[in-house]
Amino acid sequence: MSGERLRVMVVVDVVSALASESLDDAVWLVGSEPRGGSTGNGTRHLQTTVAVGDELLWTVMSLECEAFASIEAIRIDPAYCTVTSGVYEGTDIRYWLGTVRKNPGKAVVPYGIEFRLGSRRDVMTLSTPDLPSITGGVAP
Amino acid sequence: MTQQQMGIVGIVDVDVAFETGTLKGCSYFFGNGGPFGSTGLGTDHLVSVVHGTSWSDGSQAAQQILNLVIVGVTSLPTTLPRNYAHIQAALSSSRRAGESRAVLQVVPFGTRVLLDQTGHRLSGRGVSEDDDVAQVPPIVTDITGEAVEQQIIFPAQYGSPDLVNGGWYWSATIATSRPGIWTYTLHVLLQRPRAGADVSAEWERLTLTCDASLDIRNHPMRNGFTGAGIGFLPMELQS
Repeated sequence: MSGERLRVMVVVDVVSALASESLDDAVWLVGSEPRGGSTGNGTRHLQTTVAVGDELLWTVMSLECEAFASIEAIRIDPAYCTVTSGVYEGTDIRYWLGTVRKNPGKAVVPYGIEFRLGSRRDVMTLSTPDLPSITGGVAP
Repeated sequence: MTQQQMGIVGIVDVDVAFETGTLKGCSYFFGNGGPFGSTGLGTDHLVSVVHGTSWSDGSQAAQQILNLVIVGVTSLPTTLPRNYAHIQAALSSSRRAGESRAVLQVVPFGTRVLLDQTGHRLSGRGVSEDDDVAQVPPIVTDITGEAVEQQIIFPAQYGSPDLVNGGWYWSATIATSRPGIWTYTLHVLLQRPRAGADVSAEWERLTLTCDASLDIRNHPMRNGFTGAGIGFLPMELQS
């Protein structure tokens, strides 16, 4: 598939999230913008402009290198974007790869992210309605 | 006395910075002081709150430590080994040589190795702007500004002994005896392969600056368990 590869770095303040038992004010998204047009870069509400065939690559970054963070799932409407995960060869560091199947047009398609943080047994999930999203409006 | 160290992470869109000639609008800084009052998280000007402590006579009781790391927006995760690119290069050389075991071949010192964003080696072809290159992390080459001149922070660059790649980070001790807002300037070196050039040949370099601030606050030292003055914990003595 032709298309751009767009990167999304998901930054997490793991200590704050575990201390407050909440991801509020502890998660931010920073995206590359080969197409331009994205909004909310550096916030939780990153809205990435995509076209059919684009690939989104999500990785997680903890603010403190000693604090463990991992993305367990990316939840997005599969009609617009199908998601798989892979690992960097020889490691257990995971990335998530989404392929845009349908141009969202003017629609805004939100996605949720599930994290495993520190040694906490349960996942933590970004809560609606405060979610990042993808949108279209770009000719393929 | 020990305190949680301050961690600052900067993410720079290296390609946009090359195109615009500035870090404004394409760099995003975060710190773990969010819950303690830091502002500007996710912007190009972070204001980190530093809660200093003092003894009853006003003298500084402890210093804060600040650690700084900067990556490119498409850089590989920092949880990968810093020489991951060279490990991949050595493994791919072994495979091409027909080795059935993963025998690491020596990668010559100073060899530039580029990976794509999923960690696969890019080599033997021209690298263009459309290629999926994982950005080489920017390098902070200096920290200057009034916070340094006024001896509020004492920054230094630290590195691993790995010769082949970056591994640099900056750390600074912070004197917290003078409350106030103090600015500092990061000097950042960006590098990327020149568009269309062979991966081993031409690189572009650009040094840019970026300002940030420290909001130093000072409080009397207190016992974190009791919230009261310092002293013994309210525990029964074992007999």
